[in-house]
Amino acid sequence: MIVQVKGKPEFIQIQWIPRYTTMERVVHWFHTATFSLLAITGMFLFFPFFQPLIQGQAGITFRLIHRVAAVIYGLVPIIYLILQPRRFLMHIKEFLPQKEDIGWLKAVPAYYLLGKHEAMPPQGRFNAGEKLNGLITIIAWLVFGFTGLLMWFGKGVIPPGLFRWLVIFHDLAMIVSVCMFLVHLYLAVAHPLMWNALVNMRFGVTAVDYAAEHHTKWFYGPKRAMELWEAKKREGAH
Amino acid sequence: MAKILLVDNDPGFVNSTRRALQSKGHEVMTAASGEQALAMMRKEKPNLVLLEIMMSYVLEGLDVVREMAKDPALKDIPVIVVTSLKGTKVKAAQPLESYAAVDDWLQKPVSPDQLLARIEEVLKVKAA
Repeated sequence: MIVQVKGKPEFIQIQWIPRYTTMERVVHWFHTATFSLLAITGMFLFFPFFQPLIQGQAGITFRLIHRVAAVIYGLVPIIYLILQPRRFLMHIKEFLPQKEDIGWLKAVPAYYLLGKHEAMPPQGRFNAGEKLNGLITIIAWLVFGFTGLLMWFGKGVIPPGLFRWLVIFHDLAMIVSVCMFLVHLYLAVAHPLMWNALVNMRFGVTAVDYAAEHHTKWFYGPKRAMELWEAKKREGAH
Repeated sequence: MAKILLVDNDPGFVNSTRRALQSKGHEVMTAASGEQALAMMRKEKPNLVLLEIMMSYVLEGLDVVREMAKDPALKDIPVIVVTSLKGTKVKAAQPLESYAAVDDWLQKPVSPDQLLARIEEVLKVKAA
């Protein structure tokens, strides 16, 4: 992206665009660290074949780490909301699905497996996959918070039948969110077409070319992005 | 004293810049989107536009410059870009598509003194 300044011999070239604020990145990495700790300690408590490893003092330590990590995991979004309410709400709004997201999800196998980008409708700052990841993360946070707090402080008080249901919902949220986490981790770290994803979250910026291709609506604006996509489709049809 | 249109969707920057400009006697109008900015320009005919590039989408400010260049009533209004985008100076290049040139380029954070000095400079060149 190049802009000319009148009366000056040089041009201004922009190669990187700010995509994530410092707060968004701090929240993301705290969430990642605490979620990873929770997933690891939780699995030791969840799978019966790990049970011999967490007897006695080891079990107490694992439960303590799980609870400390849970408190930080729970507080991170609340601190974000308190410090930057406007940005937080804007962020949540950006995760809400839009009609073109269905087309993106339909076209996604051909893109990730065969590298075919033409059928994918233009996306905003977050693509449909990132929105799905974001929504699952929010729902899981709510379920973990609700069930986790009741299990932590309600043991012996809550009827055993209800307690069992809390454990089931806590485990289901864990299974879904760990699966989503693994997909997210693979795409962010290893998939060859997502070369810019890790840079985005490490440094907060994205390359101009990457933004123009992967986040067309955010880069060009909705109107022009649709025009470009229609033109690309017409070209593909010939 | 000039009539200045400040186009930015960051309320913090808009408020502090408005205060700095008004303290020097400038009349300040504000717009938080490209569309709003163009409507205000057509109605109020400002002497100068201070423009953020990246607003609700990355190229929104450059679309404003392009629209201004197409409109005979707006094409002579000087534009100073004040942006959060980090640009590097290059000697030779081909400007992107049909985007028009701007009168000056400042990168945030920018001090009020620096901004006022550049405004004076651009207005002086325009008046000459």
